[in-house]
Amino acid sequence: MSTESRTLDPDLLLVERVVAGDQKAYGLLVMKYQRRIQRLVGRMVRDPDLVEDIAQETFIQAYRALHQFRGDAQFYTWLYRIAVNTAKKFLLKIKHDPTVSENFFASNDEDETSWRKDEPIADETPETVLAAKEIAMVVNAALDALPPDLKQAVTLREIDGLSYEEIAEVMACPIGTVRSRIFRAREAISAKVRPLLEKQTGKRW
Amino acid sequence: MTRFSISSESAEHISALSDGQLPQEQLAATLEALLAEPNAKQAWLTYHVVGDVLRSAELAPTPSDLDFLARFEQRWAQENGSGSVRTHGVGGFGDMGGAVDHGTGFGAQHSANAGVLRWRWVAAVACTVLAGVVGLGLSWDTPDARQASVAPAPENTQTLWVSSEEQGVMVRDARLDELLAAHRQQGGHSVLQMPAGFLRNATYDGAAR
Repeated sequence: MSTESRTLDPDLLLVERVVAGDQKAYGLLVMKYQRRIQRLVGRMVRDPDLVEDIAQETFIQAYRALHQFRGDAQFYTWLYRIAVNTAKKFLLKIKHDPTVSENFFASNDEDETSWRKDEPIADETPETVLAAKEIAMVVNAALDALPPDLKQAVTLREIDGLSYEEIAEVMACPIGTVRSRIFRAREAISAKVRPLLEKQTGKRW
Repeated sequence: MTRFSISSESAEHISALSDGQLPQEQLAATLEALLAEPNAKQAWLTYHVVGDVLRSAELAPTPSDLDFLARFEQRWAQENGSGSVRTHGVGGFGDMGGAVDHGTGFGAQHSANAGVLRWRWVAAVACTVLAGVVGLGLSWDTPDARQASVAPAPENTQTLWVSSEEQGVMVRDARLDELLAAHRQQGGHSVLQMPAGFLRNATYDGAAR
């Protein structure tokens, strides 16, 4: 395995593939960011169908505007703004509908940072809440059960956001070792999470 | 072999790719595998779920999350007028393929709800149009018009009837009259103390008063 590494933004790589005509690459971006976008929209809107609708519209708008994404900012930052603007447009349109109750709106504030952060997500049922909590518990328990070097590597990467180079410096090991430890940590945690994801989809992975 | 039925080497490459740490020479092959193999996509998704959940429990996936891409593909296909989700000749957005079965479990449930969502929007639009009709006094084409003084209507517009009464020429609308009669039955003016001019006209009912 080559020890040479170069930081290549995976989002930018996928965007380039999409712009070049590979629509499947966009599916990977959707898979990566869908939950974050839906949670964001869910803090602005109560109706679960509308949350879904806005999230879908966000990804459609982003897909259509992808050729305009220059990589100056992070892809998620760009996507985030599209989501907020899309949600605001939907809400503005609905606000002028006299048949819609005020309870429909999560907040009257223009500033999305003040929207309902502590309230349940719009499309939650007790079952989905439990299923999601179970996954969160299993992930954290699996993290705690990791050998110390794997736990440290994946924590520095996923929670502290350090680059491989920085982690290598902190852990006093080669970058290749960092890469291997992070991978093994992910695999170990995934082994515990996968059965729960299978249960949710009703399909064996 | 990993839990995802792909080689350890492939899985490690996907892990490194997700961190932007994959060497250039391994990039093309890893991307190809990722885009072509459902098991590779599972690994991609699961690694990102793990990372997201470590950062925030709120990002733990629900069943709906796991089926989002399939619904997105359906919507894309509908919006682009394609009968199939496979557009652009590259196989659509490439959901999990056989890995997530849309014919069972939560996949089928969300597919069944897609039509409900469409009808909710149709109903919302219809209500908005009706509110506009009542408020602005636009007329509907009904067979029992009292008088016809109809200017030639351009295509796709409503037809109005004009009646000459004591109070002057009034544009009447049979459907509006129906709605106003129902409104009076409910108790008449409930909101405004002093009806504005157009509302006075809207409540005009000639000989009935």
